[in-house]
Amino acid sequence: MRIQPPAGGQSVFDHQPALFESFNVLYGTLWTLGALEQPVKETARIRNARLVDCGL
Amino acid sequence: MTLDAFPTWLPVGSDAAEPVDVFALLPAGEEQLRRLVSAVWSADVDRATLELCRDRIDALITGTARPPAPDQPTAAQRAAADFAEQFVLDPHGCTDEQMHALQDHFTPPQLATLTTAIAVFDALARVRAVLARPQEGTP
Repeated sequence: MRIQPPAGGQSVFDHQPALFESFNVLYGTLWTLGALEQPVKETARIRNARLVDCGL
Repeated sequence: MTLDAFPTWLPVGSDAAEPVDVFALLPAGEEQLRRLVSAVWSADVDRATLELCRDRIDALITGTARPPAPDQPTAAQRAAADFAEQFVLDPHGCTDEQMHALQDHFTPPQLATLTTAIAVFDALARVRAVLARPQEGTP
């Protein structure tokens, strides 16, 4: 790993828990609420992940 | 700052040339988005560095460059802007040398902030690029 997480953390973003929480709250809100149906969001997510070669 | 209104081709408003607060159209997430952007700018990376990264990303994605800052960028700022550029062009292309150079200038918490900031700037620039109303005379 190029940048070590803090003790007890899992990723570099655990160095900034408040900022990471802000991101996760937005991500969760966009994922669970809004006007688009889940299959549409999932399709976009998969297409985007494939384009940038993201394994998540 | 990065959530400025802009003219959009979206069918909103009466005058297509008028700037629209596009992010206010979100049925959910607007408040959370504004909170994240605010958190990025108020965290532990200095404003000049973030502005340099944002401007580099905007230039890459939109093809429009802001006037350069009057002061020459520091080595840390150049490393951050190069990281931002690589993030936009090919995130898998970040080299070990590039990441080591960043760690010469920034602490791990600052790198967490910087990476989050770059991701946010990249996303916002792309949203603007696809939703902005084409300017007169452009294909």
